[in-house]
Amino acid sequence: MGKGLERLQLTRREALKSAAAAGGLVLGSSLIAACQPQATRAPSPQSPVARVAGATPEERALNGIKALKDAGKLKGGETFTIMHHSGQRNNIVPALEEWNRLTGLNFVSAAVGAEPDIYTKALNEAVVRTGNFDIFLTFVNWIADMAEAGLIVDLTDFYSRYDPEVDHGPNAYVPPLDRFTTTYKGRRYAVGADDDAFSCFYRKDLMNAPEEAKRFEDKYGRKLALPTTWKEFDEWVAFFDRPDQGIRGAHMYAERYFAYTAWASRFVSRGGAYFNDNMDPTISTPEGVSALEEQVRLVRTHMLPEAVTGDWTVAYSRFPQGAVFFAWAWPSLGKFSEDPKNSKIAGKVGAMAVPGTTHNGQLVRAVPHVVGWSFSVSRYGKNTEAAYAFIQWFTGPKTGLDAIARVGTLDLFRKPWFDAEVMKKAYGAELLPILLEGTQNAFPDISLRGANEYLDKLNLNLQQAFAGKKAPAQALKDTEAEWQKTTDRLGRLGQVEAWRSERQGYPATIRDLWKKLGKFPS
Amino acid sequence: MAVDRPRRSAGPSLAALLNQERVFALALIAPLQFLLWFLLIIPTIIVLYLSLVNWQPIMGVDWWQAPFAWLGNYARVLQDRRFWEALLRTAGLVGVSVSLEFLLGLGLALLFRQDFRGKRLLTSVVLYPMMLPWVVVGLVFFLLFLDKGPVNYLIGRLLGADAPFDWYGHSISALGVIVLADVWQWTPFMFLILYSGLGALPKEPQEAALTLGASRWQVFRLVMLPLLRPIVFIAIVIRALEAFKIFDLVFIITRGGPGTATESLSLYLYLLSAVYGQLSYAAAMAVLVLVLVAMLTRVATKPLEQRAIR
Amino acid sequence: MRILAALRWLIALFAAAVILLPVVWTLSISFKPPREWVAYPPRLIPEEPTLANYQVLFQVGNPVGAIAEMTRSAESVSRAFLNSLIIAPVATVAATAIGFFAAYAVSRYGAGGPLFPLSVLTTRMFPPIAFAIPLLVYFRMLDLIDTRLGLVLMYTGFTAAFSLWMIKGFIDGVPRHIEEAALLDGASRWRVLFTITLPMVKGGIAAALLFVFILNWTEFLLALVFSSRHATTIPVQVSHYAGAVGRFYGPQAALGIVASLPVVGAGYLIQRHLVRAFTFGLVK
Repeated sequence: MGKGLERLQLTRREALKSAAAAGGLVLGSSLIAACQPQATRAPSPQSPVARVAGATPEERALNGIKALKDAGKLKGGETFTIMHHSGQRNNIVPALEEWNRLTGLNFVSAAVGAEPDIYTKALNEAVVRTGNFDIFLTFVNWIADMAEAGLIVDLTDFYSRYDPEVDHGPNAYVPPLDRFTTTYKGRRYAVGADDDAFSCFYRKDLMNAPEEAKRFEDKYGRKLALPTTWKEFDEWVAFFDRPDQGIRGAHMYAERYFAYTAWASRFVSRGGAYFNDNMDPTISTPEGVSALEEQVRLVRTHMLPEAVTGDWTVAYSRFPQGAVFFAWAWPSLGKFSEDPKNSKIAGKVGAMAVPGTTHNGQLVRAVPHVVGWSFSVSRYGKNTEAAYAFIQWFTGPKTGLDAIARVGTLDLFRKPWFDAEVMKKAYGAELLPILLEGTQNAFPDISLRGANEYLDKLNLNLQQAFAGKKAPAQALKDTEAEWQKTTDRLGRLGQVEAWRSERQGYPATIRDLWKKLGKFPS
Repeated sequence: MAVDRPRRSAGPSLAALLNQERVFALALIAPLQFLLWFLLIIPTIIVLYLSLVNWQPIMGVDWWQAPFAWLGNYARVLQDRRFWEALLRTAGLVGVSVSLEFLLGLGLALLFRQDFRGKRLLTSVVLYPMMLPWVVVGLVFFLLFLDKGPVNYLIGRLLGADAPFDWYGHSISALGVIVLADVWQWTPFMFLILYSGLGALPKEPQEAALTLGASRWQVFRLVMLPLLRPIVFIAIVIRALEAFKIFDLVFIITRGGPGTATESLSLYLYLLSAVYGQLSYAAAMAVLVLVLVAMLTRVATKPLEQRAIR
Repeated sequence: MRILAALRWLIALFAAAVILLPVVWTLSISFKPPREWVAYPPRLIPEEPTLANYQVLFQVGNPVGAIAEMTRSAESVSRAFLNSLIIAPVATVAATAIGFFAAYAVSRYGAGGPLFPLSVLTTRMFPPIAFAIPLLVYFRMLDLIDTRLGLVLMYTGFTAAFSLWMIKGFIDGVPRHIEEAALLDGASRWRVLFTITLPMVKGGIAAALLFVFILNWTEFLLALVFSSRHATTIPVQVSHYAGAVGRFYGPQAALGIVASLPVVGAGYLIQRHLVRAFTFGLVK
């Protein structure tokens, strides 16, 4: 009751604020529209669309550049700057050279070090508008902030004119990547360039040792097999936890940055969702609390303390060293651990699907898609269409394959690539089908406006729970309180719209589960 | 007062003008004063303005169009528990680190006062830690105190202890590692100032006192320390101001965790402005911090002023 | 006395050893291949020493290992080195010079009023992150973003406070009667400043130079915010070896060691000025 009243008042205050913000220009248009930057308000000029000719996304991109040049809108040799992470240089820089050769333009790379700095610098550009950057390659869940800050342009029209073949045809992205790496509030603001569905790796040699099967069966009364549910998973990890032999059960992120991953996977596979349709948080629910309790128990009894307090590089060190039995991380951990230059366990690494939860005999897996990178186009750059054309070319079925196959932090995202020889070589034939299945079950990070803040508050509390400083239920309750404040500050109406659109980007299995459980009636 | 000695010259030449006491003094502070005005006036106005409005870049309005919050942000800061905790924690860190740095720095400076073999090389060694980029200092200490890192390994070997100590799992020991890294990195600064300060002391009074039969300790306490006092003050004030902004080491070693258990004020401000994008709120907090620190510094430097006036 | 000297020497050696331990560990990491960076049990001497971490920095040859491939790029640290080698020394000399002038004016004439030194010190009183956006907005108006000049101006302004305070401490310690005597002899104020006072506070100036140089050489945040492609400095470059797959401890350590060498050089050159100054001045 009281809460509802408070909500109402807040909403009214917000409305007043946005009206003031728009400087009296609201003129009866809806409040949601008033909260938008020009990005979403301005009608697009190119509306009746003339499609660009060409058989492939790459061809169309190049033809588009040619047309722009012929029309005198683009001069040869013009410089375009791409802000991206330093770990992607090897993916991007060789491609830039080729693109510049093909187009006669001068696209250059501006690498940034630590990931959070990319966000800071991009948002700074939204404020000061130097025009120093034309293209951003950022975390997927920063699209909302960049769009709302008026930094990036709505690419929906370019999508229809150029057709990047994201969600149809034989070269489509693996769904649901086609949606959640590209879309905010139902509009295309970005082009996905990565797949970061978490993957599970374990020690094949220990798992397949004959004496283990017997011991496992004696202990748990069932055959030793790869776990499919989280319940089986917990027993399996406990069984292989051998501190006396210098090998711990698992390494799963529980630290300041990615503490949410394992909890979120358990939570969503149970049918949980971060918010209801009014943007009230729904994580301190039985699903959320039990998921956290289980994960806390696992972390505190079967993992090194480094899982909680180390930085996230540690997983990339301890697993290849043979110090843990199981690890979960980005797909590249597999590549990394199979390389004898980095690893003592090369040839002993198995990959498996992320566990799930059974609902009426049906197994539902929810794989966190952690981070992921997407391209977007700066409003303040030289020529948004030329910038877009490069993105389409870079992510195209042919050029993209070459770029992703080079070692770097981008991973494969178009469906046919999962059968490509060059990828089998890069990832190992065993991992690819598992990664494909995982990607199909992948759900996005919180991708609302203020995503960083929502996630940071969550991680902050979860890390305390994992460190044993806070009871799981309390950690989730505290997070909820923080989230409410954030939502109210940023404007509940706009967030509600964004969240309704965002959950359409969850995989079909999870949306079906929500329906069965009676969530989101609207 | 300095004697204003008029030089006989034909008319007021430029040289004579520049030699006038007031003009001379103004000309000397002008470059600094103008540079600071040039750098700071407009940004300060912007900070103050930001602190009075309710603005985040992701709200989609330009900052000069944002709705006014007047003192709302300031009120929010005062009620922010995380702010107060970070403030107290930071103050504690400053107290402990700066005291340790001062004592160690003074000890080293006294030690290096006399000549000995290899002194030049050893001086370089002592100064080295503050020359490393902060990322690297943070990184190395982080790695040294990992659960399965070299320090725990050595402890295990020496004590035969089985369970390694989880340094970053408890706020006190995690803060301890941060203090240790800070002391390691910045004791050289105290050494640098105190060493050159000791070098600048006149030797006669000390020698006189020694001939009069004073002990070395008495000479140090009664003759050298009072003369050294202005420099000691300045070293401590400078170091304390810098330590108060501690960010880098915390950022690398613990990220403020577990939870917010080791979060420093600067780290919180960083999260607020660079990660949460709450620029107005961060501006208000920064202004409050500035006022607080300025007042404390004023109190701390009072004795210096009085000395200078004497 | 012999014993005392030996003791002093031993203590100094011990202190140096303690100080060197983390440095040695940094060096050790900089020569280790990725799989040894956090190996357990830890080893001081790399099992398979490698120069790859250093080669990555300068793109010499074809370094081995996945890490090397990921950090490979068209862009090496040379531009960052060049920028740092220009920005830090220029800003340091400028800050020390204007700090010295102001310190003298404050110490001898109370110029700028009693609160002037404190007001200068406010530039160091709160975290630059809170000031970055307003400064960025302002520099955008001046078109100074991503320029060396912009960084030089900021670095000069933000470190002058320290040179002012440090040198003022030394000038306060110089007895005025020497200067007054020179003035009575007919020397101009400028002459007195440069030929009498300056030599006597050389130690303080040397210390300030070194400290300010270190601050400017290692400054990260402003460099990060105010550079995009042209004005990148070494500390920003160090952060490039923090990646999505983890931090590249090896190259970071290597770059840290390399980046510290110019400062070590500067420190070594400046060292003998740290203490001799005053004795020099009073010898007469």
